[in-house]
Amino acid sequence: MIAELALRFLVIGALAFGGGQAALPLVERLAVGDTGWLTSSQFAVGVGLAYATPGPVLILAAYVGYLVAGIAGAVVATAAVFAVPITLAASAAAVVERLEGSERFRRFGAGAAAGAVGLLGVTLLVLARPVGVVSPLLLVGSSVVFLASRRFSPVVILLVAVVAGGAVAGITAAR
Amino acid sequence: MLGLQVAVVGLLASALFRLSGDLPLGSLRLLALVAFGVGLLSVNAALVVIAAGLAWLVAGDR
Repeated sequence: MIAELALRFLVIGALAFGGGQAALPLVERLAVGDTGWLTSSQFAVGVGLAYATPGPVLILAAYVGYLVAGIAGAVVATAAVFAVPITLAASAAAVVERLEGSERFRRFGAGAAAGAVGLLGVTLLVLARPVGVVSPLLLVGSSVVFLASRRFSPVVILLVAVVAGGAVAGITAAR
Repeated sequence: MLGLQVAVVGLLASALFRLSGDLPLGSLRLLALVAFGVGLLSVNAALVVIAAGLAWLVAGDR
């Protein structure tokens, strides 16, 4: 299990063209679709925590690793997901410089990033579906968040959304 | 939990909007749309990303 976790997050780290958000679909497919390690709801919570904590969004690997194999899983997944980018950036600066100057590498990265953006749409659908079943407030709520995300920090949005969601759940339970 | 899920959907929609807007060419957006369609078919996500990169690379070499 730990070896599979490490291998899969190594691949994700190596393919994270376009930044952490663009790699979210890869993590979702790995953790929810392919292996069933997490439910969609657990993944959504993990993404929320990744947005709310400082540092890159791919720290989500620690959350996934922890749920799969405890502390060891968290450490292995986190190390694996950042291993390739750190190795490339830190120990092979010359290679990176050469690759960045390579038109072919730039073109591959542009295409891979476009592919990741398309997959992000799939992830969005997967995450929206269970929310839509639970509440018709999805469209209104997510639209408000969408608009608010241009002005407010994701941390503030998440806190407000959690409080609002708790209030809605409390009102519903009281009826 | 519901609030958190709604927030994540909204934030991801925002990220998708921004990232797709950052794609410099219309044909790259078309490639993203194709990847979206292929992704719906539950094809391995890593393969989709690699295939998109290679497709763009080959298209550039032509």
